[in-house]
Amino acid sequence: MDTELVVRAKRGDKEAYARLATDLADRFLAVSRRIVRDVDLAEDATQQALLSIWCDLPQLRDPARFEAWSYRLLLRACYAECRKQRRWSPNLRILPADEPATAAEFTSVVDRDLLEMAFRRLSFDHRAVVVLHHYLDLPLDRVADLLGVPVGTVNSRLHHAMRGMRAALDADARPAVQEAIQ
Amino acid sequence: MTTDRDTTRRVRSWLQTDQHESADRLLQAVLDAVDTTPQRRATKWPWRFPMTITASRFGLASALVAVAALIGLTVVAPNVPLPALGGPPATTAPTESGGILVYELGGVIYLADADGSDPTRVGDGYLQQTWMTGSVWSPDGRHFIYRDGDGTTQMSDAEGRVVASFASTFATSWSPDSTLLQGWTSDETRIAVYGIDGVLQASLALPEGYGRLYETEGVWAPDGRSVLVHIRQSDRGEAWELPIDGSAPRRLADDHPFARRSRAFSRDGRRVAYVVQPPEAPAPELVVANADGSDARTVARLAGPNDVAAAFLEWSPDGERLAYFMSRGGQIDLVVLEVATGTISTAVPEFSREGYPPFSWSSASDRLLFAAPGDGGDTSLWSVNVDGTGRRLLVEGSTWGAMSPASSTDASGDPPGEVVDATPSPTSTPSAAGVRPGASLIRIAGHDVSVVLPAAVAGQVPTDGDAGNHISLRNDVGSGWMVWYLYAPGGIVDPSRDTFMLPLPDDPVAWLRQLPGLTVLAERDIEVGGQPARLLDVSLPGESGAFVFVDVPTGDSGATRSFGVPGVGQSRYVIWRLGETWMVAQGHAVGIGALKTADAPGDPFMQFIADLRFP
Repeated sequence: MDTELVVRAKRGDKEAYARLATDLADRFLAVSRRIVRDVDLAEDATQQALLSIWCDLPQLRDPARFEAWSYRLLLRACYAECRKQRRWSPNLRILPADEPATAAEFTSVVDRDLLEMAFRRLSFDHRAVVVLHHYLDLPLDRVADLLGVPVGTVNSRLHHAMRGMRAALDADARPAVQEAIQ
Repeated sequence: MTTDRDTTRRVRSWLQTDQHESADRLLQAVLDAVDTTPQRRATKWPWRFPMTITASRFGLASALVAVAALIGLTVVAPNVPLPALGGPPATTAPTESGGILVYELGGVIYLADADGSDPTRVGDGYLQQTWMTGSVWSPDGRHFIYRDGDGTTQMSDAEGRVVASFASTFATSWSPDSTLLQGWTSDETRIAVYGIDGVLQASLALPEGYGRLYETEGVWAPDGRSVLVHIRQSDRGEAWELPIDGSAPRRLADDHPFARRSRAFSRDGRRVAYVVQPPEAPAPELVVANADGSDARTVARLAGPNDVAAAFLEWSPDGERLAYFMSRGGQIDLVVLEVATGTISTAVPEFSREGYPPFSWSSASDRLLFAAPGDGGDTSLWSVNVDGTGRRLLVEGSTWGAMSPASSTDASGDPPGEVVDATPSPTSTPSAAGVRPGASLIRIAGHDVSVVLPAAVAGQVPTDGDAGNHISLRNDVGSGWMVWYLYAPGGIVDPSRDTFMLPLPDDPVAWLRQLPGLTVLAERDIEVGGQPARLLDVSLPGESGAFVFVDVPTGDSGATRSFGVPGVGQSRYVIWRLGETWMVAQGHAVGIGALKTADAPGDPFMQFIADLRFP
């Protein structure tokens, strides 16, 4: 991220901010979609995060920390959106069957449905770690930096999340809560 | 059987497969909004008096405003947004039985009457859900906890005043006597135990050789002397008891009630409910027993033959009923069991087909509070009789709330910051043993402090004692120091965050010095009670060199608005060691000549500090 742009935007330069926001918007939307699992909520979260960046930039002390700081705003916005939605309702948005299957052998609607259901059972914190690590390919120390938590916590969350996903996939359509009440 | 590697591959593939969607449209909307949206200023008002929100503060506020007016200064509003009063109109039906409702709505915490009416904003944050992740209200109904946007756990009293903060913990729950909280540390390797003053009391390690807690919350033992945890070890669960006195963890026998699935202790600690799966039974069964495991009896079957049991047992406050999820034909009902008779009624049919919505009991044990979608599809907070009748919408749009277990005004026990013995005698009780003639014994968050009160504040002990972690003494304006605070050991207000931050960092003097916006005007070594101490006079730059905040009541709600009065005040901190922790006393000065007055011989604030004793 161009630190000079951050400094200019921090001082109120709207053109500099527009360039920063343009750089971030698509990525933010992609990340938030994967976390909140709802296009509308993801758009709301992205919009809120981008606006928060503008409003709160003067309070960012170190421009070099802009990226981590901006992702934290995004995750906070996603969290707020997640809390608004019906957290336990099906609200599944199963991808249409004619959607391009760009990857691999596991893209059948059924498989996606299983993954979707399993993922929705994860807590927000767990989802965030999975997306940052497995979608953005960020190493765990970077994820920890973005989330503002120790690496050990990220490790732990990722472990729990993937274990939960595995349990759900193993159990086919069986609710994963069986694990939780053991 | 899926392997870990398979799982990772499938998840990665699935995440990467989603089609790209452009953010161009929303980006334009953001840029349009930026054109009309000002940026927030970098410098925030970093301070306000940590006073109670009570009518009694009106006199102080008025006095401050009067002083400001007398010396020709303008009272200005701070540039931070003031909290809005009240939440959205709640659609309610007649009456709910007692209790105070705390709920979250759009990331904001509100307090309201039991029927959702008369909401008052508490602060930004989220409530944890009670059925698996701890408790919101203390059992005595005096306090509740929530997590703010930064992940800090905030403790509030029943009137919405934040009284303590502490580092984020997960699955945080109150001890049976309401004096302690326990929860996972963020790295999930230890159980942290905090007092109601927000001070860390214990950090409980797992048994040697065990890496971390695993998929289970800690549960208070019924006697409140230990935390019980379930640790997964090589695909089997082990139940352990972690004594809060720091003694070695103890493994519980496999037939111990806590080692059972979904165990839940009644609020009086006498009974336990748990789930068993007899080999010959078609579905898991619900068992109720005495807390020691005796007199166990099966009271219900939890699911149909092909369904998965979903328990999350919650005892009613009176211990007569159990509420839990029951899976039937793929749907999940919220049901209530009368423990004595075994009668089961469905409180909320078809509650959910996915996930487990939060619910909790009313204080009178006659209704259930739950969150569920309404007609419009958005989640709202509801209540219902245990038999499913009398369903009412409490707060539209709220995703979760909790009812206080008892009327906080009826709660027994000593208030914090109280005067225990103002006239000790030679035969005084052990807690008053260190009180000198002429002194008073004041208890702050469980710590006894002997004080000799200067004439300036005589008869005002304590004026607020609001937070449980400090006492406040009010002087009159003319003597220089307006309000004095004595914090409980290890505690202090973080002036840069407008909240309590406990415990203090390792070096509180250095911590204070580096706070943003805070300028040290003068600093020197002094002595307090024979201990070396550091005195700092501080102020804020950028606001005419000094400041003070006053809180003025607004309307009849008891809430306040803060006004900054630039150029009229400063603060003095005195920090010294007390055993293994730190003590902080603080005074607020008002008036142009405050510093000079405060340095004068016989300064009552300094005299007060010098006379402090800790029995």
